[in-house]
Amino acid sequence: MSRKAAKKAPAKRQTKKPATLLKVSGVKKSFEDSGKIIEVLKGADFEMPVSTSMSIMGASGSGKSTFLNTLCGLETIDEGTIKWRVEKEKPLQSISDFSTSELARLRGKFFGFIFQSYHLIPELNAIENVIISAKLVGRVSAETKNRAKTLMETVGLADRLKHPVQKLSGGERQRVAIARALINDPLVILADEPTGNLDEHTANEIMELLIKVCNESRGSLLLVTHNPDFAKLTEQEVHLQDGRFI
Amino acid sequence: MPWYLYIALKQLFPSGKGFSFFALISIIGVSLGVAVLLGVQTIMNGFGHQIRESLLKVNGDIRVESNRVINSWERIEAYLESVEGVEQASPYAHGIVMLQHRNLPVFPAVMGVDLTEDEPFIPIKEFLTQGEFEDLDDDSVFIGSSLATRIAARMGDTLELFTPLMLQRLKQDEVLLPREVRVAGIFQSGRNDVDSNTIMTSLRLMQDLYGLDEGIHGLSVNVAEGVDVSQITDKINEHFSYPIRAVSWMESNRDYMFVLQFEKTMMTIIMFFIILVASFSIASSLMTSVIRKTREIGLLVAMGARPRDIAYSYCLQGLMIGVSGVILGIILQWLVIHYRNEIVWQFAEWTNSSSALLRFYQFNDIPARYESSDVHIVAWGTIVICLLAGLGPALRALKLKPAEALRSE
Ligand SMILES: Nc1ncnc2c1ncn2[C@@H]1O[C@H](COP(=O)(O)OP(=O)(O)OP(=O)(O)O)[C@@H](O)[C@H]1O
Ligand SMILES: [Mg+2]
Repeated sequence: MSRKAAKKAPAKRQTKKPATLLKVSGVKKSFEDSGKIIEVLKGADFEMPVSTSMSIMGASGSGKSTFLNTLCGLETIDEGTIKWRVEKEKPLQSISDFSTSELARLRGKFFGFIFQSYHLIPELNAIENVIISAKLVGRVSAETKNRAKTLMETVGLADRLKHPVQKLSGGERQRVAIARALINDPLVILADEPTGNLDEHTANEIMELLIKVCNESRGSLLLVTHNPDFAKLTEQEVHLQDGRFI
Repeated sequence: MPWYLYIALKQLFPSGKGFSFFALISIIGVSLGVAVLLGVQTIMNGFGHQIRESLLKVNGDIRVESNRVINSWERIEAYLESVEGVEQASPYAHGIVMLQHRNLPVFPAVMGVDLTEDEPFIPIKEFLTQGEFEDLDDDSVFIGSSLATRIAARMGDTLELFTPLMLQRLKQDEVLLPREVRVAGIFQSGRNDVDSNTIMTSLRLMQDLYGLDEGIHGLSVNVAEGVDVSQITDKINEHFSYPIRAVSWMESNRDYMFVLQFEKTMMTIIMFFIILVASFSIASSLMTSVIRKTREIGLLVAMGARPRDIAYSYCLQGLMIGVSGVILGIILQWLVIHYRNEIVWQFAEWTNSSSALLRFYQFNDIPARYESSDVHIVAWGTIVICLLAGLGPALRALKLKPAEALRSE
């Protein structure tokens, strides 16, 4: 009883500080490849407040993508804890408490994903690629379709709704991916080098769009990038080095 | 619609393209297998049915026979006709004679039938290609068509008959005079073994030739439609004691029936292997698709898909290929069977072999007969095989690690 009270006391003093959205502590992750053990994360600590944007920088192979995968529960970890606040009113919850299918469902609602190589589904047209993300978490309604249309307009593809994705340019594909990442109104948008495959001009456009739509939505952006200029567009920068954030 | 069904449908029928090449090839493969399997079975059933029918027509449903001449047969006939389900019992006498025409001897089987019945147990009226049933009397015969050709006998020709009884008389130094009969009709039953080696006479003439007086060799029983022949056979056998015995047509043609069934079974097994081979190609295509789509599977998991739903999606793809293949195959084989005669004749025309076809096969109509059990077995068997073909890739998708899947190129 007394312990709980003691814990509560400092929390009350911090009310001005924004609540934590994601909290990673002491995460270790290593891979075994042909008998050799590669230690990628060696006790990474990371914290992201709600309603913000952050960028992660680091050398190639430093484990940025691996970190994002462990953060969203796609990759298991060897040690440490990962906590999400899946709704603003709820407390932080350790993802190890969820069952596999609970975790999958939550991940779909909580995160939006943007990848370097777009990862669109070639059998679906542009707007279907946006809607599928809602279908995966069990949302299917006329409202979803309207939302998808609005998002396509937001990313500037109002006239490409039924376009086959293979006939879209790289920049256009990434716009579709951005719309897809936003369809479930996630709290976190994970973008792993979203401009890595684009020319400088398009990259700037996409980056601008991404920052804009994230500011307009309730989601916080977590951006992995090699470009220091892009990193500066976010509110906070962290560096991954030797398996730790500095 | 659950999303995995949606994805499965989209992978087979992508937006904008309508059909994926893989879906097209797989469905065509399965439907061809189903069409060939069902088509062959239908024709085999048709031939089998035709053969059964002709066996039945020539033999009657049940034969009541003895190992010696049956003399007081009216009593037996009366009993047989009193049995429920029996339509008619007709006496007959049969045997072998030597027949000579223009010094050409042959040794055909003779069937002597009772002319006093309104309908003989053999549908001879149906079989006659020349002559009328009413023209048959105690001095004339009907002759099988192939046999007639062999000895160059025509309507109205006189034939000489020699019987085993005459040989006995010959031993007693009697003068051997053949019995002269007239050809009153030529028949074609459709069974070559019958048409090439049988003549038909009146029962009276046969009784004379074999010296039977009023005796007969047996009675042929025809039962009403839909009546269980073996059940009636058993009933008759219960009533009579040795040496009188009833034999159903199935029993007397047991070897024949067995061969027919065996042939069909073998054919079915071979055809199922064809479908199995087709299903392996489905499995390998689906497997290739899983490997090709590794990244997408990773993406779906990232976006909240449960791996087991992705596995469903692949099973469903196998199922959909199976179901559409079966439906298409059934339609295809129905078309082929429906137009089978036209197809065969068209083919014969192209290859200039229509006259040969007529000469050797003597058919104008290829028999076909559907049996619903065959259709069920083929349809469900194929669908299950296709479902299993989707299961392998599904299990692979299930085992995929999402993070590694996303990383793969
Ligand atoms: N499944 C795996 N098996 C073995 N090694 C792996 C695996 N996944 C990642 N690694 C290794 O972990 C290290 C970190 O990889 P990661 O992709 O996280 O780097 P990164 O920081 O994202 O690099 P980049 O900036 O080039 O994308 C690399 O050395 C990589 O080879
Ligand atoms: Mg990376």
